[in-house]
Amino acid sequence: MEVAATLSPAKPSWNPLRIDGTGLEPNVLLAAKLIAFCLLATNHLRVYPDEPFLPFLPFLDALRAPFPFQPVTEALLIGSALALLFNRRVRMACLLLGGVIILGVVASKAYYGNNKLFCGLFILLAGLTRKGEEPSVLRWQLAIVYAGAAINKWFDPDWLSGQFFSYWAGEKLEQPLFLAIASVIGIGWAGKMMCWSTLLVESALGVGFAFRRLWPAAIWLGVLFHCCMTWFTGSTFTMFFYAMNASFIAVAAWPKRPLEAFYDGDCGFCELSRRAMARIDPGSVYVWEKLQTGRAQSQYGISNDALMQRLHVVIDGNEIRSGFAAFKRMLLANPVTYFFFAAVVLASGWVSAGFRSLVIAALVAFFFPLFSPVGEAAYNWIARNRHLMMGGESCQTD
Amino acid sequence: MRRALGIAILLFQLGAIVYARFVPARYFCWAPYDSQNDYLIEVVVNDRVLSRDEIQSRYRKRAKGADNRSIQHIKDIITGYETSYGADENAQVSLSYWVNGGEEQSWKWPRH
Repeated sequence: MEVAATLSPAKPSWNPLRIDGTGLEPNVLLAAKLIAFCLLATNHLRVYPDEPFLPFLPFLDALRAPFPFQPVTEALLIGSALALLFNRRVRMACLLLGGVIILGVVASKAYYGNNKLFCGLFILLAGLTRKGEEPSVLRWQLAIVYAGAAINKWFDPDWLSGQFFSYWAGEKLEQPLFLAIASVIGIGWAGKMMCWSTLLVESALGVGFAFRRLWPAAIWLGVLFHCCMTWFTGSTFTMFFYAMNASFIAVAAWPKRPLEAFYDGDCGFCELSRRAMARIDPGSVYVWEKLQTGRAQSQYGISNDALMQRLHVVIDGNEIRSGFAAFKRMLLANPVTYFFFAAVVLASGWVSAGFRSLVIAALVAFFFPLFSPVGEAAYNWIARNRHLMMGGESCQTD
Repeated sequence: MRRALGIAILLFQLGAIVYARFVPARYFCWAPYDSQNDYLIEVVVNDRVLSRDEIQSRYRKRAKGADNRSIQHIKDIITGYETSYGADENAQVSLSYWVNGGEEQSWKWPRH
C-alpha cells in the first residue's frame, strides 16, 4: 500500500530534484535535466550564436538583424531549460530546448560542434519519447554517435598509424603519462596504442548500445572512457563529458517503483542513517520498513540473521541487494545523487582541471565493481561497530 | 508522427556518416577531435592586411589557432563568408595549416 501510494503524484512537483509524475520516463527526464543543468551552470549562452552566421540552411540568414535572434533564442533556451528543471510540460520543454540548440548549430558554422549537436539531439529525442515506452531512440542515438566516431577513425590514416595521438598527446598536451610511456616504448608505439585503444573502445560502444544485453557493460565502458579522456586531457570538451555521462542514465535499468529498504528498527545508528537518507529523498524513491515487521522474511525469504547483519534493499520486488551493494543501489536510484555529482564536478573544475580529475576518479571508483570488496569491508566494519557510534544510545542487535 | 520524426533524425545521421566517406568535411557525422589542425589565416582587403582581431571578427575564428575538426570546416567558413557577406570586398585569403603535426599545407581564396 505504502509503495503504491508513492508511485506517482497527481501533479508533477516544482522540486527540480524530483523526476516522477511527468510525461517522461524518470530516467529520461533525469538525463535531460542534467544536461540542461550543466548547460546553464557552464553559462552556455556565452558561446551561443548572437545571429545566424553562414548557416547550413541558407534561409536562416533571414533571421539576421533586424530580427532579434539573440534575445528570442536566449529567452527560449533559458525558459525551456528552467521549465524542464522545474517539471513544467517536460516533453514540450525538451522539444523546445533541443530545438533551440539545434537551431544554433544549423544557423552558424562557427558555433557548430559535436558536443552541442549531441546535447540538442539528445534532448529533442527525449522529448519525442513518452512515459511507459522504452526510449529506444535514445539508445540508438548513442550507438550512432560511437559508431560514427569509430568509422571516421577507421578510415583515417593518422589514426591507424598513431600519428594523431603522437602529435596531440606528445607535442600539444605534453601529457606526462603519455610521455612516460613513450620514453619506454617510443612515441610511435605510444601513439599507436592510444589511437587503437580509442578505436576499439568507440567501436565496442557502438556495438554495445545496439544490443540490449550489452547495455550495462556499454554504460560502464562509456563512463570509464569519458572519465579517462577528461583525466588524460584535462578537458571536458565543453559539454561532451557532462552530456555523454548524463545520457547513459536514460538507457540504464531504472526501478519501476520505490526501493523497499529493510533496516533494523531497534538500532539507534540504523534509525539515524535512515533519517539522513530520507532527508535526501524528496521524490520518495525509498520506502523504509523495519525488519521487525517480518515482511522481508515472509515475502522475500530473507533470513532474520541476514536482516540483522545488513541493510537489505528490494528492487521492483525481485532483485535483492544487501550491505554496501544495497547502499550503492539506493544512491544510484536517487536523482539527488546525480545532481550532486554534476555540481561537485562542475565546482571542482573551477578549482583546477587536476582537482576535477581527482574528484571524478573518486566518484567513479566508489561505484566501480572492483571497489566493491573495499566498500563491503568498510560497510561490515561499520555494521559490526554501529553500537559504538551512537555515544551511548543502545543498539538492540548487539 | 513522433516516432517517424525520431527515426528520420537517426537516419539523417547515418546518411551523414556515409556521406562523410566521400567528402573532406565532417558535418553531422560524429567526428569530434578526429584531427588536430594548427592554422594561420591571413587576409588582405583592398591592399590592407587585416589584423588578427579583424580576422576573428570576420570569420568568428581566431586568425591563428588550433581546430579539432576537419580543416575543411575552416575553408568552408572562409569560402562561405567571401561568397556572401564579404562578396563585394574581393578579399585575398591565405590559409596555412598543419594536420596532426604534418607538413605545412596552404590554401588560398580566391581559388583561381
